[in-house]
Parts: sequence; C-alpha cells; structure tokens
Amino acid sequence: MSTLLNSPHFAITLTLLAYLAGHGLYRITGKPSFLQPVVSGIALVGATLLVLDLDYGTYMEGASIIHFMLGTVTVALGLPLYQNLGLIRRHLLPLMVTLAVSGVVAAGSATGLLWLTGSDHATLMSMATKSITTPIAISVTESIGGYPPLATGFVMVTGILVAACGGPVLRITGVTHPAAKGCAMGMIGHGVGTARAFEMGSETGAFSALSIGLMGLYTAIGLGLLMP
Amino acid sequence: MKGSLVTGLAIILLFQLAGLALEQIPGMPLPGPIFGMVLFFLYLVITGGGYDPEREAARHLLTHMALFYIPAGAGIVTLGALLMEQALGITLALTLGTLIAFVTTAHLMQWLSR
Repeated sequence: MSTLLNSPHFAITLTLLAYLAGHGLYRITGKPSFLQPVVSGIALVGATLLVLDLDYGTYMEGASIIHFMLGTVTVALGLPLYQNLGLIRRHLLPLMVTLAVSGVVAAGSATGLLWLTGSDHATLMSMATKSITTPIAISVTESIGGYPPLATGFVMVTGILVAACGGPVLRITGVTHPAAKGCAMGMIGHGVGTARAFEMGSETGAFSALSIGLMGLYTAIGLGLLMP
Repeated sequence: MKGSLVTGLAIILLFQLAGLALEQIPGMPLPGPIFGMVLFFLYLVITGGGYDPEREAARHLLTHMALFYIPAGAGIVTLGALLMEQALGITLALTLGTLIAFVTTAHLMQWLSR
C-alpha cells in the first residue's frame, strides 16, 4: 500500500484530481476570488499529504513531470504578450515608466516591511516575487535563493487581495482611467487580479493582461541582476 | 487536429530548450523558461503571429496554468513553522505592501495617461 502511495502514479493522479476538484468547487460556489482553483487544488494535495502522512519530497519527485510543464507554460506566456503588442506600442511611455516604478515599489515595499520585522534571506527572496505570475515567480525565486512553495503562497495571497479589494480601493482613491485600473490590477495582482479586471471592462482587462508579462519579465531581470 | 497539438507542444518545448541553453551562459540574469518566453514572443513578432499548432498548444497550456503550480505550491506543508514564526512580517508585507504598490501604480499610470 505504501509503495503505491509513494509511486508517481499516485502523485500525478492526486494532482490532476485535486485540480479538477478545485475547478468544480470554484464553479459551484459562483467563482469567489478566494477560492481560485489553484488555492483549493494546493490545499487538497497538502491535506492529503498530511492525512496520509506522506513525504512531500517523494510526492514532488512523483509529480515532477507536472512541475516540469510549469516551464512550458511560462514559455506560452509569450502569446498573450504578443496579442497585446498593439496596446503596448500605443501606450509605450506611460506603460514603461509605470512598470519601472511599480516593480521597484511592489518588491521593495513588501521585502522592506518584512525586513523591518527581522526576516531571513530565503523568506525575503520568496517575498520579492509576490506580484508576478506564479510560473515566473517560481523560476525566479528558485534562482535567487527563495522557497518556491512559500513564493507560490505569497503570490496567491497577493493576487486574491488585489482581486477582492482592488475595485473599492480604486473607487475610494479616485482612479477612473481604464489603463490605470488595468495596470494596477495586473502589475500588482497578476493573473488573479486580471480575471477580476476583465469584469471591470474589456479595456481594463486588456491592460491588466499585458501587465502580467511585462511585470514578470521586468521583475525577473531586475532581481536576476541584483541577486546573482 | 490531435497531430497538430503535438506539433505545437514540440515547438514550445524547443523554445523552452533554447531558453535553458541560454541560461547556461555564465552571467545570464534570467531563468531558462523566461528566456524561452522572450524567444517565443520574438518568434511571434517576426513571423507575424506564428502558426495554428503552437498558438493552439499555448492556449491549452494557459487555460490549465493553475494545474502546473500545484506540486510546487503543495510544498507549503513543509513550511508551517516558518510561517508561524514570521506571521507579523508576512502579514504586513502582504497587506500594507500590496496596498502601497497598488495605489502607486494606479495613480502613476492615471497621471501619465492624462
């Protein structure tokens, strides 16, 4: 029995079933942002490992083919970036200036606050990638000495906060321009924020979608140069 | 149709492989998959959008993006002690840090887009 539970078959099947269950739950409950399929998917796998007292390392080894595909998905992110090329060209200067500031403020404010409370290097490096899309965040955090699972958690919580509170914050602080709303949702809240941005309007959604790739690339380059 | 999906996946894997090759060069600031993304993007620009197989494969991968980060994310089960120890700092960074960055980004972009 334990050989079976420690086999790649179990790890892969568990991952797929947890993902499908997460999707089902998300649909049934009316798509609340805190129940993103990936959140419940991760929770289901985590709970299964704890309940059956299985080793995470063994599970990860078994599911490594799925983890490998994360790199493939990252490559695929080139497609939405290309599809929004026209919009990027038309707003090149405001986009680049906002991106340059936003990336520094997003990584800087989070790591700064964490550093003030006395944190270790690996946790700080896991926090630095909190506003970029998960596949890129995992690659980057791995290469700068953070913990990929911790980075994934931080990315998810950030995205959920932006999706849940972004609308009211934009209203209260008087932001009405679709490009500004989209950039804030996508540069800070990555894919999770973008799903919410599309509900605010198609232009807001498009700006949010292009912000995911730009912010991911910019943060990856910035952290890669700062933390060799 | 099924054959073309495999073709598309093979093309995207080639870009991933090329990205990994670039990563081997000392001093490169980017992880391999992100190099792959840049190369794939440049390829789409040069070919005026690429072809159906790789676009279709990319769309399929992106639709199920969340599946691929479950294995890495589930590692959170090994980090309970660390989360407890630094609960205050982590909460501050995630809430206040996110609010600061969000408001800055929105207002800067709005000001620049006048």
